[in-house]
Amino acid sequence: MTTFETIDPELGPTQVPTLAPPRPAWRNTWRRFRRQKIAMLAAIVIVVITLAGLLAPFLAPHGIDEMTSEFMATFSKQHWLGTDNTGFDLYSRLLFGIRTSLLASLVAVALALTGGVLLGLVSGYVGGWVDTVLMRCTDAIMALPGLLMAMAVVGILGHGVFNAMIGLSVAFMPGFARLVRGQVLAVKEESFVEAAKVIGARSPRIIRTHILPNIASPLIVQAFVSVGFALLAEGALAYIGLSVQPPDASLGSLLQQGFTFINNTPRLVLVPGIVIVLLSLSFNAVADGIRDALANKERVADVGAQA
Amino acid sequence: MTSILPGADRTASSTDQARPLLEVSGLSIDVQRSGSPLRLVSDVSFRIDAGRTLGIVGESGSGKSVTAMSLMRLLPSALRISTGTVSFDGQDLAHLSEPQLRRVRGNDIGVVFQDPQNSLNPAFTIGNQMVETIRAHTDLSRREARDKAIGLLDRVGIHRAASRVNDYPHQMSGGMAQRVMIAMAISLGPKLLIADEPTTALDVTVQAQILSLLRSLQDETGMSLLIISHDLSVIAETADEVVVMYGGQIVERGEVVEVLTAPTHPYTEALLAAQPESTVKGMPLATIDGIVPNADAMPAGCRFNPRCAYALDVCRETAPPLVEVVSRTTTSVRCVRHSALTLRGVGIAVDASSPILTVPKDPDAAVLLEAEGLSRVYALRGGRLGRKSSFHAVDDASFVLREGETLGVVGESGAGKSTVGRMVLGLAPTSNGTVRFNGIDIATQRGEDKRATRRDIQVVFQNPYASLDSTMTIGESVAEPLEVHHRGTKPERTARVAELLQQVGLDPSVAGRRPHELSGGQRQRVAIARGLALNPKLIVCDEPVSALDVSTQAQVINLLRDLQDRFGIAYLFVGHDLSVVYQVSDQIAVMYHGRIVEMGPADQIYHSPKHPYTIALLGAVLSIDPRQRRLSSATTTAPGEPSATGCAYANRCPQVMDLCRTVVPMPVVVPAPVDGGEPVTVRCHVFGAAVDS
Repeated sequence: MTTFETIDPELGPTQVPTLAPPRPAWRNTWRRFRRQKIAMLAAIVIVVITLAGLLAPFLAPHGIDEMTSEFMATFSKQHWLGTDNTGFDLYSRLLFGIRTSLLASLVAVALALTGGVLLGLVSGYVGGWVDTVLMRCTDAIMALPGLLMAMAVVGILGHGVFNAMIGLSVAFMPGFARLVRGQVLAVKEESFVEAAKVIGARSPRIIRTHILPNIASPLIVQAFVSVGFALLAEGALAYIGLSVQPPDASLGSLLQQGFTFINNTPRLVLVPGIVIVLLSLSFNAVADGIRDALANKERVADVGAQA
Repeated sequence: MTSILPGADRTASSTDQARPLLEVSGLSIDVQRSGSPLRLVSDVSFRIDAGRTLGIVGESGSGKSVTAMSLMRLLPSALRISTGTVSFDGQDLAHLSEPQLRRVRGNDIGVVFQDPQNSLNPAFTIGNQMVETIRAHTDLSRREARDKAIGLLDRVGIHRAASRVNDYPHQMSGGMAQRVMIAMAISLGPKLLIADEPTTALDVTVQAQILSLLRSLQDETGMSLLIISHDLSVIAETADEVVVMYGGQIVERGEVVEVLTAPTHPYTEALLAAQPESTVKGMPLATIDGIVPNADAMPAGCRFNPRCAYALDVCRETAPPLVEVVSRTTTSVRCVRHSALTLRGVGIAVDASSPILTVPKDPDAAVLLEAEGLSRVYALRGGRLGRKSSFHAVDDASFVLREGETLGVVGESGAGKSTVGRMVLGLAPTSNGTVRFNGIDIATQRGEDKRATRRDIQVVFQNPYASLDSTMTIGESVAEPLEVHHRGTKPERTARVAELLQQVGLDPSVAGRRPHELSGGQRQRVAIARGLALNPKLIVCDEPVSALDVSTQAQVINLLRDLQDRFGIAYLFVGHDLSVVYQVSDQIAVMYHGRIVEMGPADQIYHSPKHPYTIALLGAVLSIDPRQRRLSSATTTAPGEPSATGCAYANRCPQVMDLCRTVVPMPVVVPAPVDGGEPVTVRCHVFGAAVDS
């Protein structure tokens, strides 16, 4: 407990004190996250699958377009997950597919996040007619279902995994913009923002040091949720042939290629399908975990203030 | 006259006043958490006799509200009554089943909460809500219940109750809403009314009315009252018996006059001394060192010992029991030294030999801030026939603030006092009028000049938790003004931060902490340190102590005065508590509904107020001496709304004339009386006429 000393009017010569290093707030958040079993399990699943995708060129026993002599082979020592009708090794293609799908989803969400934060900040902070114009534009985009929007964009730009990323980012951007705008509107009324204005801080500084850190928590959660949805959406785009083109593979295109044989060889559909569902669920579970870990901080602070 | 109140007949029948209505014994409340449960309230015992009023007083964290809520078993799910009994009228409330308990709630015990607006459902009219409550417990028809509701609203002093019953909660002011809450709480004629901080969210004059209302209802129905408050004067004005809580325990309990005039516990003495009223102006306020301990870090021995001026080794080692004081009739105390101590109670003059803290002000100091005809007008759309109307948040405010002086701006909520501060800070645009700082109109300044003025005018806000960015450390927050204005190198800034923290009485090591690790008072010190960083000439203090406990409030006021003496900073001190504003101010401006109605030297305003509103404001200040209560239970009707034309105070003014309702009074200088003093400026026709004739 701190006790106050009476203020000494004859303050001695100022000595430079050694200030304790700021305690990183994220460490407490991490501690609370770690306690949640499901979220931790999901995080491990994501890390393992991501590593597998990243290391695909080293882990895959066969190349992505390397035809083997066996067709429709079932699980074996040479082909862990068997082969498909063209003689491609499914395990190898799965690893490369994970790599493509994850990359596409992460890039799409990163683009959407960047664009959404910029739009939302401008809209919320500037306000007035700028806000009205920007928000009506996001309304227009949100009027279409996200997947349809992405398909429309890919339709205009042409097929391919890169255009699919752009299409997905366009579909996700309004959500981020809305979220950021709402948060900015709330935070910019806080007294600490007014206090910063009183000391003469300019807008860029206020946004950088006061607004962005204070809206980060919901953004992080939303980003993780979005990656989960982006994985599904990319799968859908690939399934209808708008994303990666053969012989490249993503989880969605593997699903599509296997679908023809779903009655005799469900393996070709089940394997990529399970991976998509597992990844998507895991990202959602992690998002939940992060939200609880961040929210918990506030609750603890409240109890502390009461007690 | 027959009363509409169901309990009214009880007064006659229950002549036996000593019958205990509520008896709490050995009550302990735990918060469930991983690991061992944490004890928030331990071993609380008290009783309330029929028709009597018990007050529970304590600072935040003392456990007073948790105790009150536990009586009705309205605790949050994490809290549990672990031991003890709550015997009410022969039933043990702590062990009743939910359905049995529901019958007791409302029927036998009514509750009034702190925030009336949040306690009413915004989706239903107040009439509907009252009818629901009445019909849930009686078999009255809808129409009968409604008539009863109207009668109750009339009784609690709401004008035109028959039409107001159709209003929604948002159409009522805070004071009105609290009257409605009281009407609901007494609608079934409870034997006990629990009021948890019933007036904390209300203005001073409204507080006086609500407390008077509670008193007169009690006289009429003979119900018992349990009033919980952090404000000693509320307890002193209303209670027969008082329970003083600290750290989850009762530290002193007894008849209110006995306890407050001759306390036996050092905490009670310190709490009384820390009230601004207890100090002669110009003297430092008495403070209680340190902060209220957290439930998970209770000191060993007596829980008050680290802050106690009389603590001995024995106090640090053994926890004292609550014992009856031998020389008293009613008092019990939790202090091992109580028989050896002679403590100061209310009404005894403070030690006049202690040095006067405030340096005398130079009457010829240069004018620092000058406001002339300052107005802030909001356009309101959607008037009748789509006509635009306007609302004057601030109307034609003029004042002068000299270097090193304090101008106190006092008024109730909606008076425009904070808006004046925000216009001076440049946070709110001015609709009319000018603010001159050092003789220069700040509205004409641009670029570097504007930034230079900004440096000289700083701010301390009301809520120190909201005014500090929780993502930054204390050190980063205090260093921010220096960074923004490119003052010094990084090590120099770090050194300055440490110096500033020391100047506001904090250990420099708090620089590495985050705001949530500090107490309210400590956070307000940080906000002050930040305000000082650029050596400003003026600090706008917007209700800087109203979010703080009494003991911390005194510390912060002393600090502000000390800093003024050392650095010659001028303050524009905005506040709603006249006794606090009086303590810090050289000049006081009283605002009502956007206008400054009276302005002059602080002593003049406080000791010989002129404007009827100032007189009412001073009259509403409660006494902390239970022998000299100021409340009467006579005036219980709600005051009129501010008048739209003429003088805004016309509808409430006892000296109102026809002229007042039509013509806005202009400021008039009332010359100093012959027996000394200084002239004051008053906006009132009563004085305007006198000067003209």
